[in-house]
Amino acid sequence: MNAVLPSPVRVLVAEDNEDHRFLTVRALRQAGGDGVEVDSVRDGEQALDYLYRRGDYGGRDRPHLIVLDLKMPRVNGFEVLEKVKSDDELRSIPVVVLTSSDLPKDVSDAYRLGSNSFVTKPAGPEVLKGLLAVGEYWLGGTTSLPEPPR
Amino acid sequence: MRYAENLVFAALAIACLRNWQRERARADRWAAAAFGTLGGIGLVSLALPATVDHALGPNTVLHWFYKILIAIVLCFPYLLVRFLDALEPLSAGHRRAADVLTGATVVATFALPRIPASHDHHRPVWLLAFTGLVLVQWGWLSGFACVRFLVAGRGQPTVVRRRMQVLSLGSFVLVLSLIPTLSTSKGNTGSGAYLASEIIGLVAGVFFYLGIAPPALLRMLWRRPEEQALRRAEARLMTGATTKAVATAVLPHLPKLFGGRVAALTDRNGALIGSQGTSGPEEDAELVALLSVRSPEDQLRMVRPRLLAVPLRNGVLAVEAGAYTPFFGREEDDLLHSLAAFVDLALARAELFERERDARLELEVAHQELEDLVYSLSHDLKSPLISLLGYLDYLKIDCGESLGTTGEFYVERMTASAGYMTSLIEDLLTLSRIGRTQTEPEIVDLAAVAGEVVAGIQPAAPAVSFAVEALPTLFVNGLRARELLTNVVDNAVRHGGRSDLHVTIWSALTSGGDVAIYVSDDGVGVPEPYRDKIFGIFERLGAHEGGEGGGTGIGLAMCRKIVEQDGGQITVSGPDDDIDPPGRAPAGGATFRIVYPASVLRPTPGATPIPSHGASR
Repeated sequence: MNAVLPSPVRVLVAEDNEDHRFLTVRALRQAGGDGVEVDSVRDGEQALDYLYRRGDYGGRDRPHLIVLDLKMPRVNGFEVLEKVKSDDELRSIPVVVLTSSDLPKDVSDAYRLGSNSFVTKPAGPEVLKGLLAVGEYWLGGTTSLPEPPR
Repeated sequence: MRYAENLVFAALAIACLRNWQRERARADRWAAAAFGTLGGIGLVSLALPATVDHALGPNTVLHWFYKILIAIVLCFPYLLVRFLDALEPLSAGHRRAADVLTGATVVATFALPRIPASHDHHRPVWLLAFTGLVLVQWGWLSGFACVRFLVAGRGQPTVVRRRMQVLSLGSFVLVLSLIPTLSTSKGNTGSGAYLASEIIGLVAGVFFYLGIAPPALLRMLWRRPEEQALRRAEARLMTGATTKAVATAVLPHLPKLFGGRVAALTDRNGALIGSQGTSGPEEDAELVALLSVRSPEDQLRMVRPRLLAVPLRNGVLAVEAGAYTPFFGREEDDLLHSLAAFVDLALARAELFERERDARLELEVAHQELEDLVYSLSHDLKSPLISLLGYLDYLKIDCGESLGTTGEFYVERMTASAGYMTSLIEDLLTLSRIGRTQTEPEIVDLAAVAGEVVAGIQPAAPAVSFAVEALPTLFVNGLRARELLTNVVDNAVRHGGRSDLHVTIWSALTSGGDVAIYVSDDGVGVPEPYRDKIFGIFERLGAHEGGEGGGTGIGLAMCRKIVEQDGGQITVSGPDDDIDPPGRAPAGGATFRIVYPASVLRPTPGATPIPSHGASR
């Protein structure tokens, strides 16, 4: 499995709450060690700039995994998710929704828009470590991503 | 006989003039002209001898006088046809034919060389030709009127149809009046023929009178079928839940009842509630403008003389008579007013309904907003806790060694508190969601649900023994039923006060036929003073021990909300209380009793029925 896994695995965390962002990045870095490279953005707009390599993010490589909060200012997580999953170049990047909401509607909407996983906060270090496993599963365990539903 | 006939025609003329004065309609003008001339001639001719003894030569005054009289009489069916024309325009061809024929007859009358004496048996050719012309003119115009009246009434409300039938009959009698004339023309001048012509004239007059100005009794009689339909609609009127429904119940009957075209109902603010028979929004707007005038009854007469409006406490009811309708009398006013009283009552009732419904909707919206607020508030409250729990985790991981035993103890207590607060918020969220998300009921096998609930709780309380007896199948929300049982059983285990607690879940039918689910334990029970209190939100009996052991104080409040949503009730009793049904010894601790109405009970396939009251196992 590791043979197909990129090294390092680049992860983008989009989260508006500073503490949550810090903790999530911290957990991912600890869990992945040298094998991961974690970048973070503060809102959906920055996330899209990052993914399309616009503005400050001109030279960045695209991430292998996106960890996405839903409630964000300006452009929310659903909008980012919809954009990513309807873009031919971006849709193969696995997206894990990490949110404090457990509303059934939020869960079903996220999956309908093509999310690959849905994790509800608070998620301890163990769960966040599992996020990487999600990335590994999609990146290494499958040869191709399923088409997200339209 | 002559007097009677002339009297009838004079009365007719007066009735027509009154109609015309009231409504200034073109049709009434022609009718007034027709019967007015006839009545006038009748009165004048009373002064003349009934029979002409000598042929009147061309140069006598009486000769010209008679000619004028004859000409005017011959105009009568023509005026009748013009009356018809005003009601419903005739084709140009028909009207021209009537004009030409009547014109020719009048000219011929004045061209007569002399008026023959009554007893004169000699019929010169010019007289025969004149008689023929009169026969054609009179017969054709009267016959035409007869048929047209009949056609005009077809498909109209009964009151109009009857009126038209009577007028048609009158016209038919006019045709008949030719027969005696024909017989006299054959030389039979017997008084029988004369009498017959007078009688026929009288009968025609009576028919015309009934048609033009039907007496109130006759109008009421003609209205009977529509009135009966209206009475049937009154039930619908009084149950109308909206003002719109009131309008739909009554308006379609109004024009029929009054033989008109248009009816309308406006509300207290002058806005249109409903209209019937208008040509469209433009006419609606015109009506609304008319009805919003302060004293509509006076003003309306000027603009739409046939519109009768009754002011209500809650609006205005208006109906417009059609062109064919007999004029409105006091009886019509009374009828409309009594109807208006009904409509007023129904409107008041419907408005009350609408207000109540609006208030309820408002309340629902407010309730919804509150629930939404609770949800988003709980959500936002969770966010700092998530950070707190995260940092506590890393405090332990990164700085665990320098914390020491005391420091680690503090971190443990902080983590427990933050965890407790998280579950408080989670429970609060669930509680708010019970009212917020309305899900459809389904068939729920309670025995299966109880089994799963017990299996879920057992690992955390290995020493507790559970017994699940026969439970019914209910038509309730399955997810909520699971939450309910989980909370009640969890509550028993948590607060039973002993690790080897015995919990029994059983059911019975109450004496009232409702279905009761029991969760009994042999623990410490709930002290009597607190038995109602524990179902309140945040009510807990034990001291708050930092989240360990004690619940959040929301679980039982949630249970009550769930049960009440399905129309049920939840109570708790102690070992000394009598429970319904009696006959079963209480387990010794607390017994939670959930009663559902019998309506949610569904048959369980292949299961033994739930023990009825009095049965024990």
